[in-house]
Amino acid sequence: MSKRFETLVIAHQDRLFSYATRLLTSPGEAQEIVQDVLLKFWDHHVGLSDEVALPWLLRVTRNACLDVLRKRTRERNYAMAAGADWQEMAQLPRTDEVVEQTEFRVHLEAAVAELNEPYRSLIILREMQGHNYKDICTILDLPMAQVKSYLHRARKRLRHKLREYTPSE
Amino acid sequence: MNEMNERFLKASREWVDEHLEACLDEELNGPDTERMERTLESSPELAREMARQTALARRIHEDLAATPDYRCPPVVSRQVLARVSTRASRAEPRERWWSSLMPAPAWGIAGLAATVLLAAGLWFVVPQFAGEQQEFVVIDGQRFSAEEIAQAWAELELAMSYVDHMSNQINKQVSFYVAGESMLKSVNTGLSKGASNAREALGKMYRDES
Repeated sequence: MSKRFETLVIAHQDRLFSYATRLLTSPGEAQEIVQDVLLKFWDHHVGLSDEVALPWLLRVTRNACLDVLRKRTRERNYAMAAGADWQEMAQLPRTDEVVEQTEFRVHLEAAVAELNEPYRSLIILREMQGHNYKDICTILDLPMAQVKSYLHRARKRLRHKLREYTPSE
Repeated sequence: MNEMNERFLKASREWVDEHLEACLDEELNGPDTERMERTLESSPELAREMARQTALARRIHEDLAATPDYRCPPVVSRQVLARVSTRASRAEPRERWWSSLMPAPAWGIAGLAATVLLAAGLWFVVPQFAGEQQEFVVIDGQRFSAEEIAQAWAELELAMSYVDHMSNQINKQVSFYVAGESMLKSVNTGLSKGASNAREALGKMYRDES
């Protein structure tokens, strides 16, 4: 097994798990998906440079998550509504524990989870994980203009969901 | 007048709201930037609303950026690396028993030497490689060797001599028959001539007596 593969797995696993958990709001399913994606990555990592490895991984992760979401819709099994996963998510360890979990932050994450695709992915990838537009185009398979336009719309929807936090005059 | 003002204000608010994100990202084009500035200057109320929305947008932006990733359970990478390690070891070539006798390069040289020896052996043993090229004649798609052709010639010569012999025999018989026929013809001619002479002599004798 190559040292490079091990290094890339360790470097990107949190990002993939975080993205999958936020898309699915289910850490258990996210864990399975990340494991499958990383095993697929083993078959492809030789042909992928370090720069394109993460966008490739996120793209495969997103496609796997969308399959799960479609299956849920078919089975009318809305895990988000159950609330159990939210409790589990709140207890998940973070890469940086210093940040305080304020009421606003909890509502913010809930508001993100309520967004439809691709708005949710756009907020996670751009605002939370700080990817550049080029990588986002690759991950979501969308043209640049559409990515920017959808991102503005996603931010506006978030602002609308959190309007109770608008500062008073 | 008041109603017109309200309608204008509503349209302006909608337009500002629509373009707020682009304005915060500094992605408004030239004409839209000018329109945004003009609109906010013309309406203090809209400017205040814009300031409040901007504050909320900034708070969202900052909090989202400060939201840390979830930590992936260590079991995930552990299991992935273990499974990949098993796959990789299966994919690697297995140790062969003969590799313990000689290293791989030595096996390569030995193989090359064996090939050269085999080629040389073939060159000297097999006649067509040694220059004694056997000639073949193809007749109606069938190959005949030089030996077969020589044997066929010998048989043909024997057959031809037999034909000659038989031909001579036939010629002799024919000439014998021809000679016999001419002899018979002469005998016949002689007999017929003798008979006419006898007839003439008898006739003469008869005439003389009478």
